[in-house]
Amino acid sequence: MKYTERHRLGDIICDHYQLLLVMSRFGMHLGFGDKCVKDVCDERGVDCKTFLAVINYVSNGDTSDAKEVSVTEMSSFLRLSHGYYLDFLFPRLRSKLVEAVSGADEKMSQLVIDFFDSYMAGVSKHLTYEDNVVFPYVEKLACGKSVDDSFRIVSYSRKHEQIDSMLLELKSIIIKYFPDNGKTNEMNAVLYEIFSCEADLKSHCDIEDNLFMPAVMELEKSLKKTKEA
Amino acid sequence: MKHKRETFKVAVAETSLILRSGVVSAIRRAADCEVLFLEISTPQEFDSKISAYAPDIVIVNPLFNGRFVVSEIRDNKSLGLSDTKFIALLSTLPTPSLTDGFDEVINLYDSSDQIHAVLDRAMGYDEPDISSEEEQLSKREKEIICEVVKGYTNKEIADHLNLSVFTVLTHRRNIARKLQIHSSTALAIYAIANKLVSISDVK
Repeated sequence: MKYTERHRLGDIICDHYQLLLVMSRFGMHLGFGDKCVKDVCDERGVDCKTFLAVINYVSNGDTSDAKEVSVTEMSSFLRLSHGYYLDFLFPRLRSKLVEAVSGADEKMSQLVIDFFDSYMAGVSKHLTYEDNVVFPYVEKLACGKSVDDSFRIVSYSRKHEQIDSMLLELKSIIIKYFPDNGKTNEMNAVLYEIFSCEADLKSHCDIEDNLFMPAVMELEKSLKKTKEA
Repeated sequence: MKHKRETFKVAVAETSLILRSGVVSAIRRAADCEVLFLEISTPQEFDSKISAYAPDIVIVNPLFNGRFVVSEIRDNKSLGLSDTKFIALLSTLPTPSLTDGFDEVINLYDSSDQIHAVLDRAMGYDEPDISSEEEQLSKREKEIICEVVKGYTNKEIADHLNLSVFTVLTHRRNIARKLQIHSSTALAIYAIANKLVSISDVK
């Protein structure tokens, strides 16, 4: 089902709980009662069309509203998503992982933590690059500032696949090779979180590739035209 | 690999009662699913009963009815045996002219295991899944893993094992592909878990 601004936000979230994460990254909080999407967006100062484009994409893979998205709203949404990973999710996953591997051979535990740290470092690097280079570029574009020709959004190297494959490797080494240390429940809980983190990161990368990038490319094109005219 | 079916219908066409019964009993013993049999002792019986029975497999002496020509039987649409598998029952070494057109051959002196393998192929099962077999590490690859997790460089590994650096790199690529492991930390965990190295060896 395609959601419109008249749908109640509470109903939408109950249908697709993964939208909880989307909502909070637009700076919305729970406790909005029976309000519809439009009212909640207005209250929080969120661009309603962008919000709808994202929730319709995440819930149904619908990209038909990609043209409606505001690139500034999108980059602020993506920045908040990055903050969620770097400041909340990864540190939390790490401490849970440390607990779950404790009691096994010290070196084995250390190797797993090392692996997680190198994964985290790789993802952080990618996200920080977007925060420091890609989003400022896009925000300049949105202000109509002509940008130098050395950077184009397509040239920004996508490392999304690499992020995916490392998480896959982490899961697989834990599942296949980590010896029993009497902490099955703790380890299962961490694995569940890793699986859901994986799904969320995938969805995040898809939003960047299929909603954000096309919108930025469109903007680049139109700026180039005005410049030539 | 196809999913195993519950039952198979096999027709055994052989004039000798003793051979026929022997085949039925040997196949019962070798098959790991239920097999239904139709025993056929004369060419007339073959013609009258075979299409109604619609067997999955026909086991037949190539000299049944003088000469049993598989291609003619298959092409005869009224018999409806175009998808049936034909297994030649031989008491001699197979000669190409005799077994022409047959899918498989069973020899009177085959062991139960050999018969089992023939039946599996005829029933459309592949050999036991060998793709996982192919992904097994070679002895050399295991040696390389040990060296890697001990912290040696590619150059050092090449020297220790009398290989070129290029070969070491090729091995490492193959290891990464087979294990789906690309980092040396993960490789160390793999090596410890599989007892290729002892924990104290890991750098």
